[in-house]
Amino acid sequence: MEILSRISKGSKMDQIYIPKNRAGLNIGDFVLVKLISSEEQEQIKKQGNNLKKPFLYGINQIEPIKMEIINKIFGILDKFQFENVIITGSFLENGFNFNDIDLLLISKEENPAKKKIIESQIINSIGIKPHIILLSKKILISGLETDPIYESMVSRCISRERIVFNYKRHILPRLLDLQLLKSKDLIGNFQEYNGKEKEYFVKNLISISLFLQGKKIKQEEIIRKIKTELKTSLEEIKENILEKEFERNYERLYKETFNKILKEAEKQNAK
Amino acid sequence: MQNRNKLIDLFIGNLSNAVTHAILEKAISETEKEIANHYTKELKTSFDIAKRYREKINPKLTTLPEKDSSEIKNKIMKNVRNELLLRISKGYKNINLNLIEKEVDSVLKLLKV
Repeated sequence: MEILSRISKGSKMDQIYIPKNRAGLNIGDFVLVKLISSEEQEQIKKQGNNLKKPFLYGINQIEPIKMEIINKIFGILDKFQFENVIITGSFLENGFNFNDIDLLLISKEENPAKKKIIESQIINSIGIKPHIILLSKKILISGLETDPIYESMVSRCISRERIVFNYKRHILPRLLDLQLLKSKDLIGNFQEYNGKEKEYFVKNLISISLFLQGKKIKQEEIIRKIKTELKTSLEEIKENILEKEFERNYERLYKETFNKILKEAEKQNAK
Repeated sequence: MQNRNKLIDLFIGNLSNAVTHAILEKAISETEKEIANHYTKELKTSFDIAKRYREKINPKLTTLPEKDSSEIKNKIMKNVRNELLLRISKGYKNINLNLIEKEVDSVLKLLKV
């Protein structure tokens, strides 16, 4: 593999930085540092974006092959000139147990035709189906303020541009109620859903519960709450090896969360 | 093998949930709708699960006997009404109780009840 990088000035020694998450060039390997021709340097300056490194949030490590895929996706999307491109979801979790790649494309205009073109270009290039969400920065910020699913998406993601959002949470009981109702589907139907589906219901329920408590919705926090509230682990949920106790705990947490939403609705109504 | 009454109960529970969701969705503001609908995954919903239960309830291919269908309809309407009234009592606005029967009829028709 080849990495293009720039020499930067250091205090005692000058240096070349390379991304921590990369495909190849492992620690201890010997490498050859070579100057590229001035024509090539000019071309790189014109291309600009190809030198940009992705921004990683809430991710300590990722498989090198996934970084290659991500760079390919960014390469495809650069020509569409989105304000930002955010990759999130199960693709970023350890291993290869994902169905699709969740892509948040931040743009002023919502163009369904563009969505179709992008989808087919990504499938043709990497062979994996993307789940594309086209949205404006305004909607993304409104989502971060009011809907836990948005915060859980950006708390663990890789983005093309640096993410800087200023937002203040506020509770919209009817919106949370509607989102929570999705997790009610699991109650009484535990045998009808597979591990992946159960994982979705659990994460949705726990994100809403954390949101109502004013806590950050981060993967580590969700895993911790699965242990304390549901007395199981995320792996056991994914593998669908759950005890009867899980059903009871899930139902209890659902009711508690629903009651909090109703209380909040009552409180807001009294104002 | 689950018995018929148990299957009907599960069927009623899931359809009640689906109808409640549909009516609550109509009660939220445009901004809330925009936020809620942007991120949707293709997941099995309570309607899909109800459909699966229906496929196990005899008669599978024709509509259910009148006695069963009216009992199912009444129970779903009662469940949905209770769910919505609970929310109205806590100050929810824009919930249209008149939609219940129409929504219930339409899902029951789709599932040959």
